[in-house]
Order: sequence, then C-alpha cells, then structure tokens
Amino acid sequence: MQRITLYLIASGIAACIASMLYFLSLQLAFLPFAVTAIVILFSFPAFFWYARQQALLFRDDEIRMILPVVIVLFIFLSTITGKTIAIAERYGEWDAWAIWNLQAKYLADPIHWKKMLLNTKNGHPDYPLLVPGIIAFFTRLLGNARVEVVSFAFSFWIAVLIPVVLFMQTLRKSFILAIVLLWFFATDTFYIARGASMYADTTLAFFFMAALISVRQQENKYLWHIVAGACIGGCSWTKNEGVVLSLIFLAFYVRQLFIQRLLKPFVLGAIFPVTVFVFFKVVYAPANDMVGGQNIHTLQQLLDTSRYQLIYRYFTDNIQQKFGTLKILVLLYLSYHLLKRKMPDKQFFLVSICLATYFIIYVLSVQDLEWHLSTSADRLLHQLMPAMVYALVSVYPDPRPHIAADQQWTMPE
Amino acid sequence: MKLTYIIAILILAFMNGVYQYSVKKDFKPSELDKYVTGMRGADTVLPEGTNISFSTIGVPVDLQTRIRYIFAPRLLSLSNTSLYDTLLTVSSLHKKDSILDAFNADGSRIIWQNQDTTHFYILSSKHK
Repeated sequence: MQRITLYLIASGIAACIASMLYFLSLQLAFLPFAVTAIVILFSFPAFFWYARQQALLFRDDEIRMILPVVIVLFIFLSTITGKTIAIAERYGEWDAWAIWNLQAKYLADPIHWKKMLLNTKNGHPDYPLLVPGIIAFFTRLLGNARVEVVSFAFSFWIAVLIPVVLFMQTLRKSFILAIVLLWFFATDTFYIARGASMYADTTLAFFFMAALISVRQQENKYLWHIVAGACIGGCSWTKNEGVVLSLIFLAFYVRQLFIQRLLKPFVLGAIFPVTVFVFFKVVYAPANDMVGGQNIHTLQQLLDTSRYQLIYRYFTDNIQQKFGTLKILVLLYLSYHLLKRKMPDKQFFLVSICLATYFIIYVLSVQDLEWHLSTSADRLLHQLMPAMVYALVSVYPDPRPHIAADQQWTMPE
Repeated sequence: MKLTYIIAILILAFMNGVYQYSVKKDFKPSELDKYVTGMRGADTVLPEGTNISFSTIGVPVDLQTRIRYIFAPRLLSLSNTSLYDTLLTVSSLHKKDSILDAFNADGSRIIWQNQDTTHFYILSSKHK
C-alpha cells in the first residue's frame, strides 16, 4: 500500500509545486502563460515518473481482495461525493470568497495581481498562496474557468484524498478497521462541510497528516523523508498556522532526523516550498495581524484566567459537538494505554502539543477573543483531526514482522 | 495493476463530484447572489486595472467585502485618494433620486447604474 500512498500524497505535493511555480512565474511579467503552463504541466509527468520509479522499489503488499476494496471505496466515495454536493455553496463559505478565491482572482491576472496586497481589510494578504495559486493556475489554464468550480475541484480532491490515504494505510493492517475509518469520514458532516467550504484548512490537514505518515514509513526511508519535508513545506505554503505545525513537527523529529541521518532528504524536500514561502513573506506579505499586534499588553493576557476558561469552553464544546466520535476514540486509546501501562504514541503527543499551542495562541490573540474563537476554533481542530486519526490507528499492530518490530517506540530520555 | 483500479475509482469519484458541482442549480441562496445580480453588467464598463473607490449611503459599509469579490481583480477600496478614478456608490433604493440629483449637480459622469428590490448601484467617473 506504500505505492498508492506515495502516489496520492505526491498529487498533493504536485499541487503545491505547481502553485509555487505559478507564483514565481508572476514575478516574470514578460513570461507568456503558455511557457508557464508547459513547464508546470511537463513537470507533473516527470514528477510522477520519478515517484513511480521510486515506488517500484517498494516491497509492497499485495491487495489480496481487490474486488471488496473497490466496492467499499466506491460506496464510501459515492456517499462523500453526494453529501459534499448537497452541502456545497455556489461561492463557498465566507473565507472562500473573502480570502482564498478572492486572492485566486487576483493571481489569475498577471498584470494586476499585486493589487491583492492592498486588500488589508478582511482580505488577509499575508496568507500563503498554495490554495489561491493552484486555483489561479488552473483557472487560466482552462481558459478563465469559473474560479469557484476550480476551487471546489481542488478542495474536493484534497477532501477525498485524506480518507483514501488513511484507508490505504490501514488496509494492510485490517480490512475491517480500514472500513471503519472510511465510515468515520463518510458520516462526519463537519469534515465533509469543511471540504465543501473551499477553505484551506483541509489542505493544511492533508499535508500535516501526510508528513506524519511519511516520516513513519519503514521502507525506502530516504524517499519518504523527502516527501515528509515537502509536506512540511506544503503546510507552511498553505496557511500561517502551517508554520506553527511545521515547527512543532521539527521539534519532535529533528533529533531522529539527525540520528538516522535523514536530515538531508528532509531538507531536500522542504527547501523549495520554504524558500518560496520566505520569499513571499519577505518581499510581498504585509505583517500578520496576530504577530504585528503583539505588545506588552498581550503578554498580560497570559495571566488572565477568564481567557483560559473561555478558550477551554469553546474547545470542549466544539469537540463535543463536531468531533464526538474522535473524542471517544481518544478516550479509548488513552484508557488502553493506561491499562497496558504504555506511553501513548509519539505522534499522539505531537498532535496534542499542536492543540495546546493553538490554545496558547488564542490566549495571546489580539482579536476579540470570543469572535476569534467562534470563527476559527472548530477549523483549527479540523486541521489536526486527520493527523490525530492517523496517530490513533497507527498503533494498531502491523501483521508484517519487519514493520511490527520497527513500530516499537519509547519516550526519548 | 490492482492499484490502477483504486486510482481509477478515485479519479472517477473526483470527476463525478466536480461535474455535479458545475451543473448544480439548487444552491442555497446567499447574500452574495443578490449583489452579483445587482452588479451585472458593471464589469463590462470597467477595465481589469480599474481602481474603484467604494461608498455606501444608508447601507452598511461591510458590503465592500462582498462586492470586492465580484469586482476582483479590480481594486475596490474604502479609500478615496487620487489613485481611485471611479466611484461605486451603493444606497438603499429610496435614496436613488436624491443621489442621482447630487451626481448631476456635482458634474460626475455616470457610467453605469442598476437597482434591485432594495439597493441602488451607481458607478461614476471623476473624469467628465
């Protein structure tokens, strides 16, 4: 199942690279779009050819029962598709037209695109450009197609990739567990609504989850660490929160990368997206309101207990209402580890630390806290949800002896 | 070979979803729909590089966020400096006559106007 996982994750990375190449092409005003399109479109097959060459090296597991797998995928993908279409709005939800699709419309105009940087009121021109960049590229490629259709297509692709990647990762362990996972996503109305909303949160969730999956693979680690690096770069190029997730990921894995001599492939994967991200932030992006608004008074907020109570209430209410099944799974997971007197998995800690960091960011928020929480708390939880699901199911024992042995992990000293 | 089936079914689901979305008619009505209808035709009189100053009379100025999306990649701003040579005014419908009188008295060139059941929209140019 590694091969197909690699292909699916590679499709997300390809979108990230296309978005960056398109953004860079806008710096060269004289460059005809045809040249940009040819470079990007030819890089896709080259990229997948490379991925295929690497994938062929895998000692991959055979899917023994292809017909049941295809039937199960067909049923659940049809369900997700039907629900997504029913929920989808013509222009997406607020952030879709106020931020992401708005930026895409500007980026699709090679002459006037810089005007988007002047939309400081509710336009967030400091946000990274993976989602608007890929929408803008395909909008132009398809002859000025409707931005919303392209945006929906990208959003929908990412939204179906997440459960399918998790399905393929779990299939080698247990067919039943893989089905349960698909059912979990197909019945999660909040997850499906986020996918249909045309927001960037699902894309960030995908890259973060993909980074956790990649760094855990036991075969062809060099390649998988390039992929992990690219996914972490993709997190940063998707949303500002992605930078936070990337730094936490690095804090957890940098020691392992050094020890296993895998820092080089990881950096190799991350270098291009991170460079483009830094270029955008240094040259174009105005100061982020959350960072630029910090002063001595915001530090005083750390001592304000009512802020902690309010954030806690929003977090618990959201978890109860929108992530109820996941909450039960987490409690079961923790109970199991308590009974077995085992430490929870490293990636479980990692995602939990991300959640705690989001909590602290709210404490330091310069926005009206209640408004800030009501508009974003559920989306931040959504960003971490697939990674948490992966962290939970990845502890399910792998029947293959060489993998099972590698899964043992202890807390670092 | 077996992987091909899985990728094929994924691509099939994707294409089916995108097709269904692109032909979907029964979208839940949104506020943006109303302004898209109200602004119909305005884009044909405005080149893509136009900088538009935005003002409202008797309606919330927050409307700018929605109408900005309709006009992108043009710049629609609440500023009214020399950078902006075109003015978009949105008012409640009952103020239509007084606004038209004011524009005529001011000597501004009206380049487009429209109305719906609640709002009056008028684009004017500072160039006479």
